[in-house]
Parts: sequence; structure tokens; C-alpha cells
Amino acid sequence: MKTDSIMTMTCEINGSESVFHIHPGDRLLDVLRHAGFISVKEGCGDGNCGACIILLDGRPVNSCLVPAARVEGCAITTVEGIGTPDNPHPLQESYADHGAVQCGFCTPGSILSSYALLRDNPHPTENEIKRALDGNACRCTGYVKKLAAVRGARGCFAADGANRRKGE
Amino acid sequence: MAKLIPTATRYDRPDTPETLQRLIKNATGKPFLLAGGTSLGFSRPKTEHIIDLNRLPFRECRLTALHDLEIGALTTIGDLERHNDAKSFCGGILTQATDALASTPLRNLITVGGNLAAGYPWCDLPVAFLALNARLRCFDSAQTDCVSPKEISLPHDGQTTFKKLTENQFVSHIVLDGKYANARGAFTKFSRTSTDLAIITVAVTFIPDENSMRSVRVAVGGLVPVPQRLPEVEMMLEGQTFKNFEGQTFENSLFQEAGAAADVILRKDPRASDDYRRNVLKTLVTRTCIKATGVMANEN
Ligand SMILES: Cc1cc2nc3c(=O)[nH]c(=O)nc-3n(C[C@H](O)[C@H](O)[C@H](O)COP(=O)(O)OP(=O)(O)OC[C@H]3O[C@@H](n4cnc5c(N)ncnc54)[C@H](O)[C@@H]3O)c2cc1C
Ligand code: FES
Ligand code: FES
Repeated sequence: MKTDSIMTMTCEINGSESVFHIHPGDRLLDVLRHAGFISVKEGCGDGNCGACIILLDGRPVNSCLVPAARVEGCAITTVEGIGTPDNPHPLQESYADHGAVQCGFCTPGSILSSYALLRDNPHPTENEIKRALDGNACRCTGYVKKLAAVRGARGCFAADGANRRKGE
Repeated sequence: MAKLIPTATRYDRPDTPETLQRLIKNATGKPFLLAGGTSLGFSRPKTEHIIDLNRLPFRECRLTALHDLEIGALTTIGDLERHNDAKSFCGGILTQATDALASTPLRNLITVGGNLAAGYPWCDLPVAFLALNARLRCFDSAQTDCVSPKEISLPHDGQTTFKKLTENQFVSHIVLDGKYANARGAFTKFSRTSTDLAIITVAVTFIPDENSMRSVRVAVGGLVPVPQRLPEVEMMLEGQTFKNFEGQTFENSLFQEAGAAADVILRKDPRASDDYRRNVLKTLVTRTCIKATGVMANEN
């Protein structure tokens, strides 16, 4: 378990095993972006904005406050893992259909928060939706459309049928 | 690449308290004990050694035969808010506290033990724990007698003010007094927005006995450096028949008098003046008492 300076960390990202050589103090946010998962954004860097949200073993967390070494053996989901431009997840379609994306910087984090909500609670109330998105700041003030997008995607997990990845 | 702890050269993940104690004892310098890691949003320790607590077996939450609620220190706030025994404990006071705490993604990181140990004035749970007569199960890593946890009451030694943990103390469990399991309780947080840090927090608990209030505990946080109880307010409420307040108005209730007695030495807070906070404190104490009894329909 003891490690000096460079250490190896293995985790599952969007269903595929990944191995990293990291420093003990590295942030998960940087390690993910460096590995090409650029949907994970840096906004505030201190846990306030939610641009860096990923799913860690299925739960949304701020990756700017997570040491990369901590996720050894864990399952990570980024927005790249829930759908592609050719085959988007129904929730991603709903964000597009409802015009819930303005500059798009906050969108990956918001989609992941919404995704975790709808997976656990397919028909959330308005208050449950607001609470699930309480960690996602949007500087383009697109909150109303986002709520509509999540409302519009209610039940998508039942239709999608998916418990698609480990830890979800 | 930016680093959370730039000086760190070593990372350990102990999975037993024995290993943890050995690592702490043999560490050169002061290691950072990583629970949720969210305190790194406020300050970056200059340490060479990170000890990740998340593999330790202190993540469960259970009701004991004595109705104590035993919460593993590594339980996240998110897991606590989803836990049925925690939800129903003492009139739902924990749910009221976790509802107001940070944001959804942060609640999935912040641990109960970290919220207690961080020692920030805005931490919400220690205020509720003080009102719930909590005990802490602690390991002292400086002692040679390794893994025998000691229980300490919160606050220590019958004091009314919360005492921060010492460097060597590691908390494995927070134990909430079973006496309050079916008691009445309420928690109120006052801040600028729903996810802002507390300016003032108030927690009130009491045991209903033939409609009167017994073992009343009133704790405040946010505006003081560490959470503290308000013994004058508690004494005023002790033994009162709360059912008598049914139908009364907010303005002329005993709870209003209790609120007026609420007084503390304030810490500095650029968000609100001292006068303003003193006024709001009185109103919050009144309202939280009313919320705990549930007797007044009109609390405005
Ligand atoms: C943007 C933001 C907003 C926040 N808002 C709120 C809020 O509204 N209300 C609120 O209450 N909190 C809030 N917090 C969380 C709070 O400020 C602390 O960061 C948090 O409580 C620390 O808990 P942690 O589990 O993340 O601990 P860590 O950050 O991992 O550790 C904190 C300290 O406690 C020590 N420690 C951790 N666990 C133990 C243990 N079991 N025994 C002994 N020592 C231990 C560590 O060594 C460290 O020194 C917020 C945090 C952020 C980043
Ligand atoms: S970058 Fe992580 S919360 Fe803002
Ligand atoms: S769409 Fe621009 S920050 Fe939200």
C-alpha cells in the first residue's frame, strides 16, 4: 500500500479499465482531462460550481476535490460514458430538445446530476429535481430550461431499461 | 497538472484501525487524514503524507438495542440522509440538518466524522450532535495501547462549549443518545442561499413527558467559533408544559422569552453585522423551539 511520489492507480472509466501513473497529490479532475475526458470541466476548483462533476461509483461528486489516488478500484462515469453524438442518452436528447444548453460549460455536470437522479428516482417531483441540481451553477442562467429538460426525461430509465455500468 | 496537495509524496490506504494508528505514529510530520477531502476546498495542507481513511470499516449506521444511533465516522452526509433510522431519529432533526448542508455532490463526499473534525464554525452536524447529547468513539494514536477506542461525551467534561479534537484523536463513531431517539427535535440554518455556509444554526431537543419538556438542550453554531449550548435558555424551558402554547401567538409565547435570553460571544462574519446576528439569533431560537414542539400553527 505504501507509495513514494509516483504511484499506479487503476479504476474503471465508462466501463473500461484504466491505469494511471500519478502523484499522490494529483486531482482526479486533471487526471481525467489529461486522459482525454474533456467533458469534465474546471470552473471554481473549490467545490462550488459543479462543472467538474463525475459519477463516482454511481454518485455525483466534485472531481476537483478528489485526489486521484482515492479512486483506486472505483467506477467512474463521465458524460462521454452515457451517450455519444450518434447514440445520445434520452436525457441528453431532452437537454437538446428543451434548449437547456447555452454555452455548454456546465452541461456535462448538470447532465450527470440529472442522470443519477432519474436512475434512482424515475419520476422526481419539481423539488427533487431542484435539489438534485443544487450543486450545478450555470453562468448563462439556464436553470428554467434545465428543470424542463429533466422533467421531460422523467421515466427515461424505465424506457431505457439501463443499469448499464458497474456501480450505477 | 494542478495538485490538491502539492507537497504530498506518499499516499496510504489503511483498512484497519491498527494500520492507521501505526501509520500516524510513524509519520514524519503531520499527515493529512483524508475522509471526504472537501476541506481542501478551503485550505491546502503542506503535508508530505496523505492517509486515506476511506477503506476503514467505519461507514455503517445502526440503531443499537438501547436505541442509540451509532454512526460510522466515514458515513457520507448523503448516506446519512438516506438512512431510515437517521431520518426518524428525534423528530427528524438529522434530516433537517443534512437538508441544509452544502450541495448534492458535496454531500456525497463530506463525511460525518470530517464534518465534526474539520472544526469550521459553519459545520452543521456538530450543532445537532450537541443537542443530541452525542458521544464520540475515539482512538488516540499517540498511545501505545493501540486499538482501544475511548468514548468521550460532546462537549467534554460537562462543559457547554464544543472542544475541537486534538491532533492525535481519530473518531470512529458518533453515538447519539438513545434517550432522544423518540424525543422532539428541530434544526434551523440561516444563510444567504440554500447552499451557502451557515451564518447561524440552532438545534433544539427535548423529551416530552406528560406534555412537559424534559432534558431540554439548545445548541447554536455558525456565529460562534465552535458550537455551544445555551444553558440559560435550557433552564427556562425545562419542565414547561408545551401543550399550553397551543393556539398562542409567536409574540407572547414563552419561546419568545427563551429566544430573548439567547446570547453568545460572536465570531467575526463579513456577511452580517453583530447587531443583525444577535437579533436573528433570538428569532431563530424562538422558531426552532416552536418547530420542535410542533404546537403553534401560527409561528409568524
Ligand atoms: C463549497 C463547500 C460548501 C460547504 N458547505 C457546507 C455547509 O453548508 N455545511 C457544512 O456543515 N459543511 C459544509 N461544507 C463541508 C465543510 O466545510 C468541511 O469541508 C467538511 O465537513 C469536511 O469533511 P470531510 O469529510 O470532507 O473531511 P476532510 O476534508 O477529509 O477532513 C477534514 C479534517 O478533519 C480530519 N478528519 C476527517 N475525518 C476524521 C475522523 N474520523 N477523525 C479525526 N479527524 C478526521 C482531517 O484530518 C482533516 O483535518 C462545505 C464544503 C465545501 C467545499
Ligand atoms: S470546478 Fe469543481 S466544483 Fe467548481
Ligand atoms: S450553459 Fe453556460 S454555464 Fe450553463
